[in-house]
Amino acid sequence: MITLEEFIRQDINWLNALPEYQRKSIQQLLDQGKTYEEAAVIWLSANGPSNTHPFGTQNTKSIFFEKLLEEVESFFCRDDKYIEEKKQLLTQFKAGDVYVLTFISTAISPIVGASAPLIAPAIALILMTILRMGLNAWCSLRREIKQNSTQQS
Amino acid sequence: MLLQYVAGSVFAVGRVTPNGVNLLGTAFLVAKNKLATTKHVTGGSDSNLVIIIPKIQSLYDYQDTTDSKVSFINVKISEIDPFKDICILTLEHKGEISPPYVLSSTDSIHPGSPVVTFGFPHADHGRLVLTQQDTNVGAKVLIESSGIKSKHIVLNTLARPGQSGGPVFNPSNMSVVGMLVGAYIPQGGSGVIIAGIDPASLHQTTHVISAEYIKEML
Repeated sequence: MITLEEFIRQDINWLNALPEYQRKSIQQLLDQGKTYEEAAVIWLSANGPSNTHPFGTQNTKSIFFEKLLEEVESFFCRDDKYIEEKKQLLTQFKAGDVYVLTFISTAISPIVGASAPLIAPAIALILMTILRMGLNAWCSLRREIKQNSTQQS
Repeated sequence: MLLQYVAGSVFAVGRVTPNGVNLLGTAFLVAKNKLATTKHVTGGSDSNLVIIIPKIQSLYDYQDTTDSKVSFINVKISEIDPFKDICILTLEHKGEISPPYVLSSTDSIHPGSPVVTFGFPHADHGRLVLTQQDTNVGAKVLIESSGIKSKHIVLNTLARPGQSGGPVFNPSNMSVVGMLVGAYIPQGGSGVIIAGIDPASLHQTTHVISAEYIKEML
């Protein structure tokens, strides 16, 4: 069976796993010079057209990127989290990039309190960052960031 | 299709809570077992999200404002675009329902054109009354979100909480040209809230996003 590290090392453009309307918007952000992480933050915090007062009854704010990042980190960097999901994913990874992205988004969505279609583009962008850095380097960086923030507080 | 029969295609969106169903906004059929609403109505979460089954067959029927009992169908978010503020919901039931109209675009209408919108104004106070508003297009505008521009029209009418996600019809051919998303407000709002209302939102400049973007998500 393929390992998680081998899985993430595959040369996949995860943005291609998104529906076209989402991919187009994300690509526009990247074309503006935004990094993958900046694009993910903008996607998650966007709340419709500017200068428009929404007429829903609650108008809830979007989820925080950091919360999602923590869950993706738990999924890919920690052996004691998402154990069954990872087993299933690694046996079914050949089902294609759309399946894999949907699978990860669906596993994480209840924890972050947002629907899978909303977080999928942000997860795709995080996966692109991981692909660029390598899984071990990304996990080390995340640990380092957490340690630094704990020491500062 | 006659306008009064839109009652079977426009729904109130709610979330089931321990205290009952909280009304959130409006949704309308856009394809078989699929509805459109705004992203901000759902908050991006489909946990306990439902649509309320209408009690009337036609808008000519009286809607009983004292009847607080509701039946609902669970829905899931199947597509979402936070820049355009559009959310596609899928019905979780075995039956099949389809819209008796087509989706078009704001390209097909112009300032001065009559339009008709439907929604549930004052749903923030628990009022569940499907309401028709007849008005005219005031302007065609491009509005941006994080540098991404999209087509909108301005309606010359005052909208209230609960109407977000309502369809806007071109009555000349009964096509849906757009979806109500909110009202113009200067950057940051007025900074004053009176009885839950920002006075800067009390005007007749209501924003509607083009239905062509909904079609792209189906």
